[in-house]
Amino acid sequence: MTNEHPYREEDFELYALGVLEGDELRRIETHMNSCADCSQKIAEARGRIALLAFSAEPAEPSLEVRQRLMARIRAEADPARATVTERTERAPSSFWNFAWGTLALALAIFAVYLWNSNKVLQQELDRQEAAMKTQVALTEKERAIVALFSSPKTVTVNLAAKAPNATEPGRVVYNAQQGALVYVGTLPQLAADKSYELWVIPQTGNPIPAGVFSAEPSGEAKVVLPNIPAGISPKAFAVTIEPAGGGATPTGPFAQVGATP
Amino acid sequence: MSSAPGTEQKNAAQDQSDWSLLARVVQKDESALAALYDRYSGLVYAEASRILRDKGAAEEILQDIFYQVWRTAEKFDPQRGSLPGWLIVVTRNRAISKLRKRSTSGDDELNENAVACPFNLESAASQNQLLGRVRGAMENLPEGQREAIELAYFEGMTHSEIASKTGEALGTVKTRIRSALEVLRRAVGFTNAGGIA
Repeated sequence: MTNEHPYREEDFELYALGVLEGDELRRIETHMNSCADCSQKIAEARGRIALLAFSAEPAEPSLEVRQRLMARIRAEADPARATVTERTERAPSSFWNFAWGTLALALAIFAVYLWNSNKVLQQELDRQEAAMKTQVALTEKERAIVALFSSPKTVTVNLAAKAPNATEPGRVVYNAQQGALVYVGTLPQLAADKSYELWVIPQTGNPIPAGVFSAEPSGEAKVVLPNIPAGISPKAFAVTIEPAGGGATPTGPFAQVGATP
Repeated sequence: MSSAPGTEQKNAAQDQSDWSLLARVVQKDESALAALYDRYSGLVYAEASRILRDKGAAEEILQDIFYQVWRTAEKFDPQRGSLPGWLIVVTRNRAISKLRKRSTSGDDELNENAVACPFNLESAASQNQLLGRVRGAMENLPEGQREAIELAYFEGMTHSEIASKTGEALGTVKTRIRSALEVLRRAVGFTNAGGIA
């Protein structure tokens, strides 16, 4: 078996990927043990292969994991608490009675102080947990929006206005594989008993509701990542005017509609 | 009692580099570990979840890895490697070991088997940018190449194991993986010499 340098960058990547076996694997491992240059190239190959981790679906752990981790390291740092041992029998003295009495009183006061501090800490923990939940939710949504806009399989569909219900167009950005959708448009505000509703119109079957919304006083209207099933190949998208709260099927007139390219 | 840990202290930690935070972790600064966790837990958890398809098992690996960072931060040499690179590699090693029910190969020490990653992953923006590029490249791979590289990376399979699972010839599997790696190299801007284009 020769101890030659692997001659292609991909050899280092294949090693880092873990697909090599048998003689191929032994050859490169034997060589690496004695070659600093190649050890560095392996480190660089590991870095390139590690990028494959980014192809995993974005996901966030539960908040409890962070809490358990921090509790674990704090438990490790706390010194063992001294235990109160029982006094052995001995002739009582007024000095020791006073000393123990004072200590007992001090401990009682300290216990009340700790209880109160713990309550304050718990309230602070609850407040921060709520804030972190909001932040995690925002992060997940941000990641989903990035994934939608960066995918080459995402399509954009322009929705034409349908007068007299609308005079401005709208636009849908949609990815069938991700089941992700963003709608933006300009629409007139409706009466209080009416709502706009967005629909995904599949090739076959009934229109799929994709969000009930209203327009801002400025006319701005949007729907961001509604809960729709993935894998649908739509033939069109539409916005209709429905009774307030929307419905499972469209009943009202079109405000905007557009066919997929 | 002051309102600990304090928003200002938290924000200051988030602006610090990995090396600065690791140096504080060596001093047993909990907020520094928390900042590193907040920075990279999503990445670690997403990878472990993809490999194990088990939320509880993925969370266990996540906690154990960051606990190891806490215990052995002093062993990490910034001259030799990247912390997020190490986190990704160790997550993969442990998750695949758990998936395939085999013992770890011992590649988990912070100062050994370094991982040199040329990208700065310290901000969510840079992570999201890389995520978009890698996912876009993977989606554009031919089905056979994508399947082969995913079996290799996320299930820890060798060439012959992939050939056996997919029913393809060994040579075909090797060619597909090489081709997929070439595409990914170009997608993230690496030159053939391993540098950044």
